[in-house]
Formats: sequence, C-alpha cells, structure tokens
Amino acid sequence: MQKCTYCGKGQCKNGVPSVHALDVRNGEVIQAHFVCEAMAEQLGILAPKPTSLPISSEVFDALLGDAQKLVQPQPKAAPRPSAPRPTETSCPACALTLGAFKQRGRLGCPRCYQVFRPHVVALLERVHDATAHRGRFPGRTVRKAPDPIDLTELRNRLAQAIAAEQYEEASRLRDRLRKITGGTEEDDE
Amino acid sequence: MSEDLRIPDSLDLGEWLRADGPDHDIALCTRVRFARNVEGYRFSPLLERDEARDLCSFVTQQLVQSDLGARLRIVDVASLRPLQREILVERHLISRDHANAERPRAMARDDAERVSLMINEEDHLRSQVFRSGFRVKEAYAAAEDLDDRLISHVPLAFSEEFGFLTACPTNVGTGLRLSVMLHLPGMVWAEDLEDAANTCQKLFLAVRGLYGEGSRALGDFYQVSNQVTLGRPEAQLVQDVAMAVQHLIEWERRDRDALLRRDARARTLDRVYRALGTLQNAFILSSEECLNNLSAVRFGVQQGIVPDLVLEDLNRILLLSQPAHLQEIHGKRLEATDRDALRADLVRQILREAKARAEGRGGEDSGPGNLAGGHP
Ligand SMILES: [Zn+2]
Ligand SMILES: [Zn+2]
Repeated sequence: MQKCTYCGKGQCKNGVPSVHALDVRNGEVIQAHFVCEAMAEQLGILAPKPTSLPISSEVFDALLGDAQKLVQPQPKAAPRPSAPRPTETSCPACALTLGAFKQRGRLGCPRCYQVFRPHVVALLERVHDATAHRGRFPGRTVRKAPDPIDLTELRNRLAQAIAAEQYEEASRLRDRLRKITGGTEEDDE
Repeated sequence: MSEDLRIPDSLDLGEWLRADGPDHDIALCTRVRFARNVEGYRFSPLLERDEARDLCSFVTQQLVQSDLGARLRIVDVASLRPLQREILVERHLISRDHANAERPRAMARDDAERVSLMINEEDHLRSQVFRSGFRVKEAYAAAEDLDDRLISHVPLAFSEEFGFLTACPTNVGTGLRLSVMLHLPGMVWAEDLEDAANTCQKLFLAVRGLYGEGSRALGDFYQVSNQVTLGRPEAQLVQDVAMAVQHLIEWERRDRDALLRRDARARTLDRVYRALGTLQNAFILSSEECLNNLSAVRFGVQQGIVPDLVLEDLNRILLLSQPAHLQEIHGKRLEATDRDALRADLVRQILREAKARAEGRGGEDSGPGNLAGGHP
C-alpha cells in the first residue's frame, strides 16, 4: 500500500492515499506522488470531495466558504447608528438579505431567485456547471426524442470501438443505443 | 434459550428490501426524489409556525382531494413518538432532518412503501418513489406520474429560467435526485471502490456510504446519485446514473468472480464462513459488526456459496437490526448494550428459521428460490 507523501510516513490519519499526482515535464512523468484525499483537498489538487459530502447544505457551505469569511466580521463590529451603513440588498417578498443568503446558503422565497440573480447565477455555474433549466415544465412533460447529437456521437463511438476491436466497449455502446432508441437500433454486423 | 421474538407484520420488509427486480443481488433499490415548493409561501426555512401549519394543512387537503388520497396515509410527523419517527428514517421513508426538526411537518406514504412524501422538509414537498432492484426507468416514470398529479393539485414555484425553485440552489431546476443503493463487497475487497468513486465524481455523480458516518461505508452498501440537478433534461440525468450504475454492477460481478478464482478462493470462503459463524453464534452484536458480517454472508449467498439462506433473510436482518426497529420489536426503549444483545438474538433467530425452512423442504433443492435469475 502506498503511503501518503504529505502527511507523514505511514502516519496518514486520513485513510488510504488514493490521489495520484504526477509531475510532468515535457510530456514525461518526473515523479509520482501518492496523496490522501484530505491532503489533496488542502493542497488544491482535488476539489472538495462530493462523495463524502451530504447533498445540499454542506456542498453549498463549502462553496460559499470564502464569501462567508468576508461577511462574518461585519456583525461583530459594534453598530454605529451615526455612520450610515450602505443598505444591503434584500428581498421585498421575504426580507432575506444577501448576507443571510450567503451565510445560510438558502434562499427565502421564489422571488429571491430574481432579487439575488447575479449571485445565484454565479453559484449555479459552480455547482451545476449550468445556469438554465432544460428539464420539464409543470403540466407539460417533455417527452421529446433523445437528442440527435448524442445518438450520432454514440453511433460514431460504436463504429470506432468495432474498428478498434474493443468488443466489450462496443457491446456496451450497442446496449446503450438500444436502450435509448427503444430497441429500434438493430445489430449491423 | 429465550423465547422467539415476535416481529410485527408492519415492520417486515418494505419495497426497497423486497429482493426482486433486475440485478437485485447488487442493486437493492432505486429511488427517485423530486423537490418542489408551493407558490405563495416562503420556503420552509423561513416559515413562521402558523404559516408552516397552514402550508401542511393546505398540501394535505389537496392530497386528500386528489386521486392520490385513497392510496396515501398522511401522518403528522410532530405527533409521532420519537421511536416511530426513527423507524420511518430507518425505512428510508423520511430524512433524519425531517424526523428531528422542530417545525410543523407531515409525511404521506402508501402501504407498500413505494411512495413517500415529506411535507415542509427543506422544501415544501419532497416526493420519493422506491422500486426494488435496478429499475431506473420504471422508478422515474412512476415518480413523474406522481409529480404530474401533485402539479395538477398544487400550484408550484417555477421559473422558465431556473426551473422548479428550491430553497437550496443545489436542488434547483429539475429538483431530481435519482439514487441507486448498491451492495459492492467485491469492489471493496478488491480495493477498486476508490477508483470507481473518482470516476463517478467526474461524471457529476456522488457515491456515498449508505450506513455509517464519514467515508466508512458499513456493510459495503453504497448509494450512487446525480450531483447536479440543473441544465440537463431529466432523461439525461436518469441516463447518466443508469449508465454509471450498469458499469458498477458489471465491475462488481468481475471482482466477485475474481475473488472466487484460484488462490483467492480459500481466503474468500474463509471470510464468508467466519462471518456466517459469527452471525449464527454471537450473543452480542454491535450494528457495525452486524453490518460487516452481513456483507460477507450476503456475498456468499449471492454467489451461491452459502446454502439455505435467501437474500430476503439478509434484507430482513438489514432492516430489523437497526436500533429503532429492535426497540419496537422489544416493545420499549433499550440501552445500546441491551440492543446489541437483542440484535444478536434476532439475527440468530432469523438464521435458525431459514435453516429450518430449508430442512423442511427435504433438502432436495438447496438452491434458494429467490436467487434464481440473479444474473440477467
Ligand atoms: Zn495524508
Ligand atoms: Zn425572497
């Protein structure tokens, strides 16, 4: 078993080193490190591991970590009524403030999505790698045919796999195609 | 020896442990969840108590009036005894947070435990559909049908741009979380699980232990689910999870076969039969020890090494050996040490009954019926 390069010779408390970090120069591997996941996260090699995070709140908190640090010191400072504080954006429907949103990671009401739109969009970009809904609408179930691009790509990959004699991969792709097309994709051997 | 424990019918297996459906020897259950919010209310975390009560009664009224009403049993979660709430959590019908929260809240379920709804959880409505085995398409279709019925009775918060709006932006868009619960002892023993988890992560999928805290997955039970909910059509999210799970199942089968080949075989058999010996003979079993031995025995049963037992026996142990279930069987609260003794009693009893059942059949057919068709 490999030992973690960073947290000590066999003293790694963080479990089995599982991240392989390679030093590559001019296309050649100079050195391979084995780093446990906890250390990899700290070193910035690996993004915080979603596999160990419960879904919503914790992921969000991790992502908002930096923003939180910026927000937190403010409430500690004694409020001086004479010094006018710039009025913070807040939702007219539920009164949630931007600070509270960033701190708790939860929006207060549907309207909040518009009120805090720039912040929401930036966050969605990071969490979902997307910013707009492409799924179904209430009362209107999207039952359109599968995306033609996906199928073309699948068929190309299938052809390539057969050409490369990767039969296991080919049969997997064929099954997938069959599943998507509902069995209309016939064997073409 | 003490008298046999009487197990209430209501506690016996639910849908997710029924041990049938495609690949059910590896995939225990498929679950589809939708997060939805009712238009005209603030999201659950900001609701005042009276607003929350109002929301709960509005939603439950709509449910009763809908065609779902006849199928669903609606329960005021706050009025349940703590033990009853715990049982719902152990049966995966409500979240731990929903059980322990202070706010007014409700849940609804059908008798077969194929459907459960949480009302005023983090979102106003969280609907869940369960199907035993690896049945992604069927589970999704049922969940969508349920969602359509809800939509036709309850006005939902929706925006064309962001889709179904949720309290936490991590659930926005489709609000869909599809998970498959997998038993992966082969991959764990062959030390392939980390690789698999890393691959899944690249596909925006999460792999989590089903039991236990942190990274340790007790009993080698895992849950694979989509990590993102926005920017892809539901069909694609479903397909991604299905593909990854299919891949994991094939990987698991290869690892299992390898663990029974040549020099690996003796070690694997030793592991399986030591585990069986422990479960058959122990008088004290912690939940951790129980789950880990159960995993090895389950592996043995699935691979046809261990006769007389069927997966249903093991699923029964998996479900009933949990703390709240044990205490319900016992009829009152138990300290952890007493629970460990009762757990051992229960496990020995179930294994004894399985043996008696097998012997009763005359032993002319030791191949357990439920295993037939385990491999597709
Ligand atoms: Zn380390
Ligand atoms: Zn708001």
